[in-house]
Amino acid sequence: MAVQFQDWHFSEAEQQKYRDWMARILVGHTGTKERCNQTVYWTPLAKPLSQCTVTLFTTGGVHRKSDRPFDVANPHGDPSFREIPTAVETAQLMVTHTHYNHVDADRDVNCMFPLDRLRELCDAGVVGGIAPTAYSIMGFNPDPTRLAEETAPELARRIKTSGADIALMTCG
Amino acid sequence: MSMTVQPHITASVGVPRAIYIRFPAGNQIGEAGKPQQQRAILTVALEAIHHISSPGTIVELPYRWRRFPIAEEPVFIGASQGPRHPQAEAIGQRLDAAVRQAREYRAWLEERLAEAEASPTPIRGLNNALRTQIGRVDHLIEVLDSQGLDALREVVNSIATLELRASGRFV
Repeated sequence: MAVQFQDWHFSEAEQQKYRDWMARILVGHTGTKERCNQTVYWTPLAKPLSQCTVTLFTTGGVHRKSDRPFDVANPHGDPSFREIPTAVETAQLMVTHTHYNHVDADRDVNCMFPLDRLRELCDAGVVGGIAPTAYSIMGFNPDPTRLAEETAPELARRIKTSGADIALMTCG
Repeated sequence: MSMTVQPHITASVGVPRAIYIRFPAGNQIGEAGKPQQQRAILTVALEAIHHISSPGTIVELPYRWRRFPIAEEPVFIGASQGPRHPQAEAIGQRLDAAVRQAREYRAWLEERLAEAEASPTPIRGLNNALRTQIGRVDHLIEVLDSQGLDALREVVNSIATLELRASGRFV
């Protein structure tokens, strides 16, 4: 049965929820800066899914066990990123993040970084291909200046040049 | 395409396309060890791209999270050591039961309305009144199944995260 998508509306109550959350973290985390996109860009997708190359991007702190873990001890966060070759065995991945409950993801990373599932969709022809590299950051960055000005443009450039048509972003 | 569990933040930050799922952070694609569920959610997340035609749109999936906080799948019994909150689990079960009962009640009211509409001797005002009350039961289901379940999920997951962080398990 086809899933019914429903438009989600940014009601006044939801806007207040955001203001309350921001007020809390401005007090709770030293150096917090509020930063929102001034422009929301739009790239139309002209191809059917079955012809698209897909990659994954997560803010959930996923990385290879052999990688340097994200710095979760720093109260100012860690704006660096990790590359994840999409041919990697998911058993070789782990999560370093202290700001969400990843008990499930520790046992099966696919519940937030669905690389095995993406391979299955590719084998079944639902998507056309998988880009060679996926990317990960650790989403706790109270001051997102470096994230926005250094990490994000670099990741956008890499994802664009990798031939990916779609980047699916999941969060921690 | 962004998958979000906090649409008020996603909408404020501003993204081209997003899909909102009422699941906990860290479980947007579903539960551990459930590949069929994960595959279904990943598929609809990708399909949603073609349903969104203007920047900043967030679409919502109809799924609800019904595990509080982390009930272990048989293959993981004893493996998670996730914090358990028996009272919250009981509230979750009762919310589920209340939603089921409210849906049954709604179905009964629909039958009652169909009977009333087919009646050769209609009661003045009854059909409209039944329609109004069905709408109110819909609102009740929304409060229980969305707002109530969301609030419980956020409370339990926030506390579980704090407990896990304090226990040093997230390193």
